[in-house]
Amino acid sequence: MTTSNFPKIHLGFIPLVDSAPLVIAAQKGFFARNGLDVELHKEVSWANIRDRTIHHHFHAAQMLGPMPIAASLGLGHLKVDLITPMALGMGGNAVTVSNDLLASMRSVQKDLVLGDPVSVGRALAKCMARRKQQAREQLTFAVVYPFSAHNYELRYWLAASGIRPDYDVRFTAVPPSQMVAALKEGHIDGFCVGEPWSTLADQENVGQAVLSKSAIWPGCLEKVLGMRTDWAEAHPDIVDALIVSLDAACAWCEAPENHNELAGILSQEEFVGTSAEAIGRSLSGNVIKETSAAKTAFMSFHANAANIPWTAQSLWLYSQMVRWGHVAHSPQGVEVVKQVYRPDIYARALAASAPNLAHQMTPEKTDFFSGRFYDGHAFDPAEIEQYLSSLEVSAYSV
Amino acid sequence: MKGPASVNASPIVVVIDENDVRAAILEDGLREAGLVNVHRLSDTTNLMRQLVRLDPDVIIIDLENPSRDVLEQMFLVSRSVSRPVAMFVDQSDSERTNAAMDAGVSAYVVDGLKKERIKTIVDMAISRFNTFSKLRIELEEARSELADRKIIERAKGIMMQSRGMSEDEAYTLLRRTAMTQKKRLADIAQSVITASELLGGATS
Repeated sequence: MTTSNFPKIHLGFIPLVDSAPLVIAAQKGFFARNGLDVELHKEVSWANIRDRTIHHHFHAAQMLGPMPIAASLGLGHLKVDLITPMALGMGGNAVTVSNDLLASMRSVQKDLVLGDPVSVGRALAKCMARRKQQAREQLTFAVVYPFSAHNYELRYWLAASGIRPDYDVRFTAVPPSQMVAALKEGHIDGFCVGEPWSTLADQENVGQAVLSKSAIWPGCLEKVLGMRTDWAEAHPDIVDALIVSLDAACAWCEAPENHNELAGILSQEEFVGTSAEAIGRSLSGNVIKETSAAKTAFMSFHANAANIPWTAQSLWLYSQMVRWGHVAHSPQGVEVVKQVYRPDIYARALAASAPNLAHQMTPEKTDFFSGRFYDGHAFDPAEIEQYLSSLEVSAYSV
Repeated sequence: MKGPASVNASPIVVVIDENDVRAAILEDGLREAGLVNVHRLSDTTNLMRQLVRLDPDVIIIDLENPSRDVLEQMFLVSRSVSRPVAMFVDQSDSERTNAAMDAGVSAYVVDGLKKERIKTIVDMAISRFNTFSKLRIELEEARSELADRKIIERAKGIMMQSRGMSEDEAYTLLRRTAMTQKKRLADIAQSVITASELLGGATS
């Protein structure tokens, strides 16, 4: 145990399975080992996470990937520069549909393969076409927060399936804790959200997960560590200690032999507060009941370089913000976004344990940053406009 | 959907708060301030639909409500409302934002509402939320004070019975012990009761 003069650090998190790195770093002593005295704060909304970070209640927080980008661009709130010096994992989201909708999908497509974005997308598009013929109401899908990878993934997949988000399908937001009830009561027909909510919908027999985030884009980061840029610049030693602690915690969370213990810890009321059994199932990756042959890892905390905040990832998220009309494209905007994800700080913090990391971290040198999506489109961060024009369904071109 | 509220019409204010007492306190304050169109929502099921129907100019929501994220989706990026929304904060008003966050409240304001009007509403929300937490703290203090008094009475009774002390002597001894041990009087009294129960003594 090192001693240090670091002030007490306050970190915010949302009760989801992928809050695990923060919870474990605190519970298993990874923060303490690096001289940090950390207090975790469980929050009820992403808006609170953003506001409390911006207004100095929290030094840093678990955030949705696009949140620091949105804040730095001044979307939806104050324009405050935030950075992401590390990602907290990859994957972990799933698209769940109601039992009714799944039955209709099976009726229009006998050979439906759950987990296969092409097959599931085709079935959903057929269902929607049929509903339109019958003059029935549009389907409604829910997300948790607009500036989220789960929102952009869902939109990406719907669009690639020939379904126009906001036109052919209605989008709404529902808090995670109300998601299963909303599906049960028929307020929504499906949702895309992090775990354990898809697993819980299945356990309560109100819906089934049909597709994982990782099937749409295996390399897509999920939650990140977000903090104010000015705070990070003033306290590089604390930032480094946070990264070293969380990186070790991510490695711990990745190891299957720790999953039982992890599920037990997360199930406590002060953390996620749902059954250890459901969390264990999320961790095992068995969220989708029948999976296609080409099964990708459902969620990684550390494997596949899941903690490196690639600049290219932030630019893809930005491209989707532009695509769906959440921000107007501008060269200045791109420059702002390039300052948000900071792989250089991640490499700096881990320089002692992984001196070659900085050299290994060029996207060309690794297979793990794969900009290729299931539909064959590839994202080249240097050609955002060209990329956006190549996508058929887009609010960008309207 | 209608256009921005005209200057003379009273803006439509929606209060989203699962705490009925606090919501009622705020509602009263807003009405006193001349805002006659105030709606309170305690059930957040299908919130988006409820809000589209009410078409509010201002929404006040408590920070402990997870539905804040629904409002962000609805106003910031959704096409389900035709009017743009700004949160009441602007870059220069971080003091008011901080005051609101400390009070535990947030506001979403549709563009087009006069700035002075917004301030009245937001300041009212902040002050009524603060009043409510003050009331709650006072109530808790009053409750624990009452509980303390009962414990001390019981301890005095035990001491009077088992040691033949007068009420004043029992009280003086309790207080002196609390002072020398640097503990609360009620804690010493509680230990007298506990000891007496353990020893099977009087429990009067």
